[in-house]
Parts: sequence; C-alpha cells; structure tokens
Amino acid sequence: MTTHDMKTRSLVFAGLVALCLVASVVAVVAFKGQTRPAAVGDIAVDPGEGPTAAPSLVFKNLKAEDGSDHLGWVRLNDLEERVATELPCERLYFAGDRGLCAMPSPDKAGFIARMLDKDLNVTHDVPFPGYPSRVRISDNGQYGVITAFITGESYADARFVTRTTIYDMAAGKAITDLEAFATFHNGRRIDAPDVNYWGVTFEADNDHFFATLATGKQTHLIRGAVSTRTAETLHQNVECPSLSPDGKRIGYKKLVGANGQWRFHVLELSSKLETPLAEPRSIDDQLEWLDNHTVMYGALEDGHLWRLPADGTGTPSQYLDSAASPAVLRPIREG
Amino acid sequence: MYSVENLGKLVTTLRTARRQPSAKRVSRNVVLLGFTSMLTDISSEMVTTVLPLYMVFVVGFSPLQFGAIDGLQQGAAVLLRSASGFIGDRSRRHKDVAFVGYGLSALARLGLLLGGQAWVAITAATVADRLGKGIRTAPRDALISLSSSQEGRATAFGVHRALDTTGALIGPLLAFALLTLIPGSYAVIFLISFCFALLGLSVLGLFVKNHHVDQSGGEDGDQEEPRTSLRSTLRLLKTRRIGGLTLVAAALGLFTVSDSFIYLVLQRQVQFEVTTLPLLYVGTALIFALLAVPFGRLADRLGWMKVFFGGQVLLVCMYGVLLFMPPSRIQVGVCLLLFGAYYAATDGVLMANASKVIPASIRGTGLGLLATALGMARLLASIVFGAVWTWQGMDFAVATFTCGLILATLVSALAMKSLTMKEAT
Repeated sequence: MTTHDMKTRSLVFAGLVALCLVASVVAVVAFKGQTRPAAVGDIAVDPGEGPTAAPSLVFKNLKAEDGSDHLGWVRLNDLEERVATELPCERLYFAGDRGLCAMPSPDKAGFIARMLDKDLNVTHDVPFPGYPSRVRISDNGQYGVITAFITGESYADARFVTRTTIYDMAAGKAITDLEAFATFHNGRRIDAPDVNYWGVTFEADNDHFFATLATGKQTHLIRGAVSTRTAETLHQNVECPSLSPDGKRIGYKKLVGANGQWRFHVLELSSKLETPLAEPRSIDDQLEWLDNHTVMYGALEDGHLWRLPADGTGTPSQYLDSAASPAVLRPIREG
Repeated sequence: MYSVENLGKLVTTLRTARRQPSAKRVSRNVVLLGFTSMLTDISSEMVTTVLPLYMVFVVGFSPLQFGAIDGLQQGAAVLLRSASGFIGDRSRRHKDVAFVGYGLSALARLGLLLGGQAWVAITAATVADRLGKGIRTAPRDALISLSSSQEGRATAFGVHRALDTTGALIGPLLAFALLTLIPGSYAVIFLISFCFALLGLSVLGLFVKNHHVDQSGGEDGDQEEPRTSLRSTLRLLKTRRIGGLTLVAAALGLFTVSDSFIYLVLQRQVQFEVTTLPLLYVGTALIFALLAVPFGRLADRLGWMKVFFGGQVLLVCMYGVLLFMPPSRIQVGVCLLLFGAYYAATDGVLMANASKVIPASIRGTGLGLLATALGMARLLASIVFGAVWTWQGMDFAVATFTCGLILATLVSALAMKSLTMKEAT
C-alpha cells in the first residue's frame, strides 16, 4: 500500500471510530433520558382486608389493562369481586400468613423472590438466578420454595437445567437447594450430572415434602425432608406433584404417549393406585387443591383457571377467567 | 539428488538468515489480525452474556425455547470450518473469506438491533453469527501462519490468542457495566456491540494484508506445493507428519473434559453459588490471555513438543487437583491457573506447529480439517464423560479421564518423538 493509500485508509478508520463513538453516546443519552417505569410500589392492605383474612384465592391476574401480569385475589365465596394490584408476579403462592412472589427485579436484569406478610407488606426481596417456574410455601408459612430454569454460562450452553431453592420465609434467606440433597433410588445414591428437581409440595409437618426428580429420561416422585437434607424415590413418571389437603393423595402430571403429552392423574399414596383425571388436554401446570375433592389449574392456551373432580369423574369447568398460578388460602386459624 | 537437496537447504538458510533480524518479531499483520479478533470478541461476548436475559425478560421466551433455537446451529459451524479453509486456499484470498465471516457476524448484530423482539430476527441473527464464526476461523489461522516466520510462528499465534482472549474478557464486563448503570439497556448494548464488530471488520478490511505464500519460504525449499484440492489435503493427512499430528490432537482431545463439566465438578465439590460460574470462565480466560505470548515464545525457543506436551501435563495435574485436593476456594484457584496455562501452552502452539508442516497452498484446508477433527473429538469426549458420570459417579468419571489422558499423553509424546527422530535420519 502506498503512503497516500495508507493515509486514506487511516482516515476512513478514524472516521468510523468517531461515528461509532458518537452513535454510542447518543444511544446512551437517549436511553437514559427515557422516562423510567415507576418503581413497583407497595400493595399493602389494612389488617383484616387482605387475602389472608378470609378464605381467598390469590392468583396471577391476566386481566390487567396494560397487559402485564399482576397479583390479584378474590374471596372464595365471591369470585366476581376481583382485587387487582400492581405487583408483577411471574409466579406466586400463599400459605399460612405469608406470600411469595417471583417477580422481575427493578433493574430488569433478573428475578427476585419477594416475600410478603399477612397484610401484603414486603418483608424481604431475595434475588435468585434463572426464570421462575414453580412456587410453593409450607402450610404454616415457614418455608418457601422456588423452582427456576437456569441457563448455562453462554447461550450456547442452554440445556434444560432447573434449580429448586428452599427459603426461610421469616429470615428472608435461602437455606438450601434440592441439588444439595442426598437422594436415593432403590437404596443407591443418585449422582448424575443431569439431575433436575422441580415442583415441591409440602406435607403438614412443614418438614417433609414431595417433588419431582428427573435424571436420564425418567422422572420420579421423591419424598424428602428439609431437616435431614435427604430424599428417596417413591414412584415413576410423576411431574409437579401437589399434595391433597388430607395428605393422602398426590395430584400430578403424568407423561402419556410418545409426543410429550401430559395427563393429570391422582396417586393414592398408600396403595400407589393411579387415577387419570377427566381433563383430556395436555396442561403444563402444578395442580392446586381447592378442597379434598377438587383440583384446580391454569390453562395457558385459554388463560383461565379450571376446576376438576379429583376422583377421575366429571368434566372440567371454568373456575375463574383470565387467571393463572392459583393459591387457595384458608386462614390457619380456621379448621 | 543429494546435492540438490543440500542446495535447497542452503537457499532456505540464506533466505531465513537474511530475514533473521525480524524473524523473531511478530509481524504487523498478525497484530492487526489480533486486534480484529479482539474487537470482534468484545462484540460477540457482549451479546452472548446478555442474550439469555434479553430473550427471557424482554422478548418473553421460555429458557427451553431458546435452548431449542441454539441447538439447531451447533452442527453447521463445525463443517464450515473445513469448507472455508478450502475456499481460502483455492481463491488464495484468505483475507476475503475471513472478511465474509466477520462481516456476517457484524450483520448479525445489526439484525439483532433492528429486529426488535421478532423471534425470527433473533433466531436468524444467532444463526448468522455462528455461521460467520465457522467461516472465519480457518482462513484467519491460515493468514496468521502465512504472515509469520517459521521461527516466530508459535509466538505469533500466542499474540493473536492473547488479544483474542482479552476481547472475550472485556465484552462481558462492558455488557454488565452497561446493564448496571442503565438498567434494561439491551438496545444500547446491541448498538455498541455492532460498533465493535464494525471496527473489527474495518481493521481487517483496511489494514490487514492478504498473503497466500508462506512468507518464510517453507521448511523444504525444493518441495513442490501440492494442488489445492480436497484429495491432496486428504493425501497429506495420510502422511506420518500431518496425519500423526491430527491423530495426536484428536486422541488428546478425546480425554479432554469440556470447560462446562470442569466447572460443574468444581461447583459440586465446593458448593459455591451457581451465579459465580461465569467468573470461572473469566478466571481461566485471564490466565490464558496472560500466558499465551510467553508460552508461544517458549515454544519457538524450546520446540513445540516440549511446550505442548508440557501443557498436557498441566491438564493432567489439574485433573489431579480435582481428584485429590480438598475442595476449597484455593483448590478452585489452582484449577483455573492450571487450566488457563494448559490452554496457553496448547491452543496456539498446536496450530502454529501444524501450520509449519502444511504447505501454504492447502494451509487453510489443512488447519480447517484439524480444527474439525479436534471439535469432533471434544464433542465425543463430552458425551462419554456425561455417560460415565451418570453410570458410575462424578469421581469415577474424572479418574477414568485422568488415566486416559495420562496414557494418551505418554503414547502421543513417544509417537511424536519417534516420528521426529525418523525424519532427522
């Protein structure tokens, strides 16, 4: 290249650098200048007014005018009077005197676990990695659990990985992950690189729980205890278990057929008897028990909550429109 | 015949002697290629680190959806490496083929910026980026080798790798700095990423010289350059020198546990937060960047085999640390040190040496094929490692691979030694 040629090339390069700098600065300034969305506020209610005061259903409201999903609740005896809030929960649950809302962090770079007390005051915000999928709380509100999808270090590594974290709701801290548990199958400890846990449901003693463990191509129902950090497999092909109020049955998704289709089933824990439920559609949700005879779930395809008899009879009927992530809340003072 | 050989060797020695003063200095072209890679890596790593966040939070994908998108592109890029090397050789314009690769990746950034939240645009952009990477690697390495002397070959590759890895370190830091200062500024990140890609492309286009003849005149001055064809390259693979080298590289790659698995093992042992995992990548990359040039120089001075197999020994030591050192933060640090050093001693050094024994006319194809062989060996290693882990547990898997690596290293070292001795006689 001639010297003149080099000069021209250098000038072109310098010009490009200048152009890039200007464009970047303009972009930064323009973006910063945009009005930021209002910080997510306070949804606290007066004592006796909130969902913990009387039998209620707390859910993710899909009816919000601006299109985003927020926490809402209704009284079980008056499903028409929906109370909407501005808390953007991706997934939520309530039990005992506490609530857990997995929501985007204010800076939109991750998710946080927002813990609420009985009057919906925020007690703790705990960031967690990944995208929330299932949320549950033990009956007395002591432990909260979130299952999140974790992506790999680069998007080149995005395998199907879940992480299930147990939180101390009063202290507002993560205690442990299920991944740290010692889980046994037929007496042998499971130790594979691809284990995934998800879908926890607690027993009434606030220590034991059921969950799903997946390894290889098989899913298992496991029963574990927070106090011992151990678990063991009980049954196969059980996803997202949900324990009935009387603690005797588990409602879950069972993989049927060859195309990744699920069908809701109920498992009798003592006899291991499986009963298919009357919902013919393949629905991806963790069941919530309305009472000992009825289960409830959110259907993504129509955005409504549906109810279904838990004994395999009857047909699905719409319970609440434009809602998802249901949590049935009965004040623990009542029976 | 004897005298002609001697004459050829004499001419070569004279040629290299005349160029002696600059033989050890790294050529401008190599440094410029290094900067192209650095700027491009800043661009791509910025996007790579925030893309999952963007797709989940802004576009609303589920992690499974974008995992599916990404899985599609993995295979294509591997094969492209050989193809682009071949095209570079045939056209004798390695620079232009590399330009297409870098250009495609730059366009991919633009697509990401302008495509908004349309998942079609996002998918197309990530595919284009992968393809671009596959296209540019072999011609770029061919160009590095053609722009550097025989004596300074490993140093040249070391310089390039160091600059390349530095870019990979800056990218994520820049992206997270932007996200922290200006929350939700994904559009700004994509724009700045495009700017870096554009500047990297410009360095290549404006300042890098295209070479298609080995600047150092080659090792055997009287050896005829084979025609650029797949057949001649494959014939070359059958020769003891290059075939042997490829087999050695593949054999060692077969017992190399992938980065992700190593970090997973460490995480299981030490039980640190999953969010700390990216820091492990950064740690290894930092060591790699710092040691790439010194190890390259060492390879030029002491001979590639000492440094390369020394690097393999470092890897064995790292596996040993995984197995025997009690889990702690110090253990993690030592592992990263050994891992980064292993990369610095093997990655550039292997390519540098391979480039010395592959004639210039099929340099790109040859290097491309070597890269493909390595890639496939590593893929197989990952599958096997995962299977052994599932079957017999984590410690067993690491132990098996350590034994395999020791064996492979010993056999390869002996094989290469005897090969070199056979040639000397």
